[in-house]
Amino acid sequence: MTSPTSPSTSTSSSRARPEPASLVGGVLTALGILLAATVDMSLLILAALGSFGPGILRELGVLRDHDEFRRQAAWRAGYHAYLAGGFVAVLLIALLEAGTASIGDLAQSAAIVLVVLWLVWGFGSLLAYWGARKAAVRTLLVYGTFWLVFMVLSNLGDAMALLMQCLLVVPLFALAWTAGRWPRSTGVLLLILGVAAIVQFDLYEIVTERRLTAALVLVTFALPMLASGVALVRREAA
Amino acid sequence: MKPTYSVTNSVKRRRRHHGDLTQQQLADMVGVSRQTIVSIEKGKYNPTVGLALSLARALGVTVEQLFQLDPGEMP
Repeated sequence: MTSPTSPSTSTSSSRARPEPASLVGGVLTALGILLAATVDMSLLILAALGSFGPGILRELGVLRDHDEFRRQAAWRAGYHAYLAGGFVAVLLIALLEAGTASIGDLAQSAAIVLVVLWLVWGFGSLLAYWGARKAAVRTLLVYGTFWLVFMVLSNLGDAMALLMQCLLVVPLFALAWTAGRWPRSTGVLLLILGVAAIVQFDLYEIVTERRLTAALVLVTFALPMLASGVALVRREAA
Repeated sequence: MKPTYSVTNSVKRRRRHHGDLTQQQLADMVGVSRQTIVSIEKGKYNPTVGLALSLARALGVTVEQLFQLDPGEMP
């Protein structure tokens, strides 16, 4: 039934207007690429902030400008990006290191990207099935146990060294306990400790000097704390 | 093999019968973008239960009157 005073003006056009955050992100991305190519490559960080910043803020619950349809579209696109990016990263490593049985300098950079993709995918799957608290608690317990066993086996003949090194692992178990009761505060603490671990143990050297040991510590110590921290800080964890 | 279902809806028809609402007006009533309403009416997007209930309430009908299930391939 058409009202005489309000004729239907609906259209079937599905053109969407970009959100302000996406517009700002687009400008930052373009600016970052331009400045990186003309001034200094470190300014490519602006492009990273522009490209991924709005999405990260949305996933953290800080930005809430997407309705369910746009969220689902973004998640589907993200899954496809993960599949494509992961496949390309593996392909790159295979092509760069064809003929050898080790990962050289160039391929290590691609390997870092691949590890991050796998870890985030794995942890994201845990979040989907278990929820933030349970996923964070179990992640901390698993990695804490891993490091405890490693410390014990590495220091069997030296009780004092064993005790001192085990102290490094105690926070993981303690935070697994507090995560169940005070998720948001524990999340913030995990983020701080994760960043502190990267700085304290020079884990950023996996980028500058490509130390494999630093990469292993990053993956099995700092990244689980950071991932758990992010999951707990997100609004859904409250 | 798991069964697949296709969902049809009468959102567009009900919207026009309900005071000839525009897509934007309906979108504002249920708190989503107009693009979401467009995608639902075209059958390209099946809303969550919450949104389906909100649409039904906004249009003064039941969810079953708004969305119909057609069984596809059965095991």
